[in-house]
This record gives sequence, structure tokens and C-alpha cells, in this order.
Amino acid sequence: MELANSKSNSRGKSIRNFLGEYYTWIMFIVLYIVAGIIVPNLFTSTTMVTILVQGTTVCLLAFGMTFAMLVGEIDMSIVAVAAFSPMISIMLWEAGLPVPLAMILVLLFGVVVGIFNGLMVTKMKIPSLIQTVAVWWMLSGFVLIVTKGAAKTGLPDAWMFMGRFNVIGRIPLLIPFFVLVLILAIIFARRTVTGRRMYLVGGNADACAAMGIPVDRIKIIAFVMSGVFAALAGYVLSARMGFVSARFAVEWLMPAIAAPVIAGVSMNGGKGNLINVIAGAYLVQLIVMIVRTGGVGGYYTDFVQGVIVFIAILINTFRERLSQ
Amino acid sequence: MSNENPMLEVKNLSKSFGTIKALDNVSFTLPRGKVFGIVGDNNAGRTTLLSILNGALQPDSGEFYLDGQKADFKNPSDAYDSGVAMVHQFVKLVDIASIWENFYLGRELTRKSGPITLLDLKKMRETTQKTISGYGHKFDVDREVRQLSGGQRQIVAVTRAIDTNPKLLLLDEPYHGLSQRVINDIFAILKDARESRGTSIIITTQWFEQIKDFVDEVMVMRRGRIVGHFDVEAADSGHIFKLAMGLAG
Repeated sequence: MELANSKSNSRGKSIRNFLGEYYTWIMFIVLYIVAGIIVPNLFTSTTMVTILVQGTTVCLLAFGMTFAMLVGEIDMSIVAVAAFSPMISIMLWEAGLPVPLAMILVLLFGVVVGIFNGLMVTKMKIPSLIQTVAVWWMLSGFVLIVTKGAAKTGLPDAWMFMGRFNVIGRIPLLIPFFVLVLILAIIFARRTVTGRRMYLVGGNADACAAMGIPVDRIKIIAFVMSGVFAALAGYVLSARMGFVSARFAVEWLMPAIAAPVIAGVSMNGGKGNLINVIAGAYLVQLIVMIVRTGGVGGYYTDFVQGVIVFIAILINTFRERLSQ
Repeated sequence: MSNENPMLEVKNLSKSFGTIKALDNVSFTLPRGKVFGIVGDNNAGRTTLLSILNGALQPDSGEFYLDGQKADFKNPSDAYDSGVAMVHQFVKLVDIASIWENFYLGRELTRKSGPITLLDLKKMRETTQKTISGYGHKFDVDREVRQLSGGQRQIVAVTRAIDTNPKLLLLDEPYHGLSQRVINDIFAILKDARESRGTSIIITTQWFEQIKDFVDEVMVMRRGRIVGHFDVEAADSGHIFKLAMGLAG
């Protein structure tokens, strides 16, 4: 009897742990249901697919931001990388570069910016906030120079294939690709030496260095990850929208910071579950969408979004404090 | 052949911080498999010496040889790669990571899974549990280090340092603020390492009595200099105390 009792207790406890761990998903689902009562059509498959597809951008950006946060840094340059990488690649395609090479170049720009950010932060000891804001300005300024502010349309079909070719129903090819990228990132973070070391370095860089972990290299790789994910976000957005512009992803910077924070990623480093970041990203996406379609007037949207995101962060912070 | 070399040969090490001479022309030789104690009060230079041997600091002048090889450590990683492990007074663990992750910090176990190499979480967890319970401690190795007491943290740090199989183990007052029972546990672990692995050890203290039963030789440091060096049988506690405090001639 006692044994059975303790067993059911431990089962109850493990369910509670599970719900505590994936709290962000619960917040997302609850908000979705509540919003569905107010906003029409939220439960139709069309709307769900729309949210799924539109959320890819903020989710990829949030994944990139999470890698930077895991090692205790921040990467503000991601939205500039998301515009710069596809823009310059498209311009090179216009100048004669084959499409596949241009697409590879998108990722390569992400890698290069990541290495540059990482080197400056680790070797020159520049605070990552300052470093990446400077790079953000430089890159988006550079894009303005070369485009004179004009958006690029008429992207090649092969470039847009991922956003335009539907695998099933209205689900474009980019969704399975997106899911694959997320799964690989989660495996990388949880099951590889380098991925786990990001958490440990974020937890206590000093202790890691004392045990022979190359702390600087791990941080640089984290910046490379955020650069690559930013480039991917830019590419996916352009393949979906059919254009690139200088101010491309700027509106997604705040959501990309808010999503990991809502998901419980510590800005001090060392803590964060990427599976929750997906929920955090879609939660923010949902908030943005509700506010836009829910009849909030034009000038109010940013403010209302900000308030809702702030409340979500507040809820999660209180929950974490209670669980300790 | 390398067995003819002493484990550590320190030659004329000096290190200043501003106008303060933290280490002043220190030389000594640690034979293979021996345990040296360093007695000194807080600014005697003990920590500076160990930090240089561990690569955390670089000397202003002088040099040292590890197993016959001239050591040129730019950071603790270099020292670690050359077989030097250090346990700090304030232990260096990642608080928000589990015990087993700290145990395998920097030397993670992996397994091949097709073309990719993944962490062997299960093996790391089990081996940590086995190693620590082998020393008679019953920890749940999944717990985060921040949930441990000071003594438990130090036991994790010491068993981890020994498990890396170092040639030279440096311990900087590893009993700071711990209960006598935990201190006894730590010495039991160290004695075992010494007997079963022949690890060469340097251990620092403020009180000679604390290490008397454990060391072969004792050096007394004061204001960056070695002011006495004895076989432990020939060492007299009262005299050592006076030397360390600057009260003897």
C-alpha cells in the first residue's frame, strides 16, 4: 500500500516536473485556445498553416539568439544578417552567380559574421551587446548603400522553390526543411560535446577553462550558430515573400529576444531548452498575429504587443522563482 | 627513462604584483610520487606559486620543469593537457550543471552513432555514480552542484581531479571552511590516490598539524620566500609556526 502510494506520488511528481519543464508550451496552447474564442478562424487549418509558416522566421532567429544567450552573450546583429545575407547573395546572382552558389553564400555570410562577432567578443573583450549592435548598423547601412533603399523582387524560381512548392495541401517544402533544421539544432545542443559545452561555458566559464575547455572557441561557435540561423531566417523569409529589402527582418528583433526569454533561456547563460524556444517563438508570433487581426488600431499595435510579451515574460519569471 | 627526472623542478621563480613581491626567487625539487606540504599564512605566496604551476599566472622570471620538460603554460588548459590538475580553495564547478557533468567537464565520454559522435550520457552518469560511491559517498549524481553542501562540492572536485589521472596534483587549502569529518574524507581520498596511483602532490595549508600525517616533506613560505624545508620526521610544529609567522630568528 505504501509502495503503491509512493509510486503514484513519484508519477505525480514526474508529471509535475514535465509540465514545469515545458511550461512555455502550455502558455502557447492556452493562449491559442483563448484567442480562438476572440479571433475568428483561428482553429481552421488554413490559419494554423499560416501561423506555422509565418512563425518560421521568428523561430529561426530565436534559435540563433538562444545559442548566443547560452554562452552568456547576446547577438543583436541577427536581423541585419537576415537582410544582408540574402540581399548580397541575390545581387551576386544578378551579376551572374549560379543560384545554388548564391544560396550557399547566404549561409557563408552567416558563418563569417558569426566568426567576426565571436573573435571581437572573446579576443578583444568587446561586450557582445556593443559589438553586435555595431555590426547590425554596419551591415544594414551597407545594404542601404548598395540597394539605395530599394527592395529586390524577381528572385529566381529555384531560390523561391522552398517557399512556393507545396508538399501536402498548403504546406510548403520549407516546413519539413525547417523541422529538420530544428531537430538537428536540438540534437547538437543536447547530445554533442560542443553543444553541451555551450551550456557549461555559460554556466561558469572559469570552471570550464580550468578543466581545459577552450572557452573562446566555444563562444565563437555559438556566435557562428546565431549567424547561420539568422542567415537561414533571412533566406526562408525571402523564399516565402519573394523579395528582399534593407529593412527586411528588423521588426523581428524584439520578438527574437522575447521568445527565448519567455521560454526560460537565461540571459546570464547556461540555461535554456530549445524545445521550449519553439513554443516561445510561436507564442510571440501568435501575439503579433492576434493584435494585428484582432482589431487593434494601427498606432496601438507595437504597444499592445509589447505589453503582452512583457506579461508573458513576467509569468515565466515568477514561475521559475516559485519552482526553485 | 623519463622516470629519472624529478616530477617537478622549480628554478628561481619570481612574481610581483605592482610593488609587492608575491614570489621571490623560489626553487625546489619535487621527486616522483612524493607529497609536499607548503605552510604559510595568507600572503605567503602559496596561491601565487600554485597558480603559476597551474598556468593561471605566468612568472616574471624563473622557470619550472614538469617531468623533465620545460613548462610554458599560458593558461590552465595547457597545464591540464600536460597532466597538472588543481583543486582550488573555492572549488571551480559549474553550479547549474549536474554532478556527473562537472565530473566529466572537459573530458566528456562519447560514442559513435553512425557518422556522428554523440555524448555518452548514460556511461558518464553511471561511471560518476560508481566512482563517487567507491569512495563511500552516496550522491545522486543527477543533482545540480548548487544543491550540494560545501563538503560535497569539495569531494566532487577532489575525486574529479584524481580521476583525470594527473602526474602532479595541486591542492590549495582544499579544506577551507569544511567540517573535520569532510576533511578526513578528503584526506582518505588523497591517500588512496597516492598509494594506488603514485600521484605527486603539493598541498598548502596555514596549519602544519593539518597535513602532518599526509606529507613527506614540508616547506615553509613567508612573504614570497621559502624560509624552511624539512623532512616531515624532522619537522617541529612549533618551529614551523614561528617560521611561518616570522617569529624565528
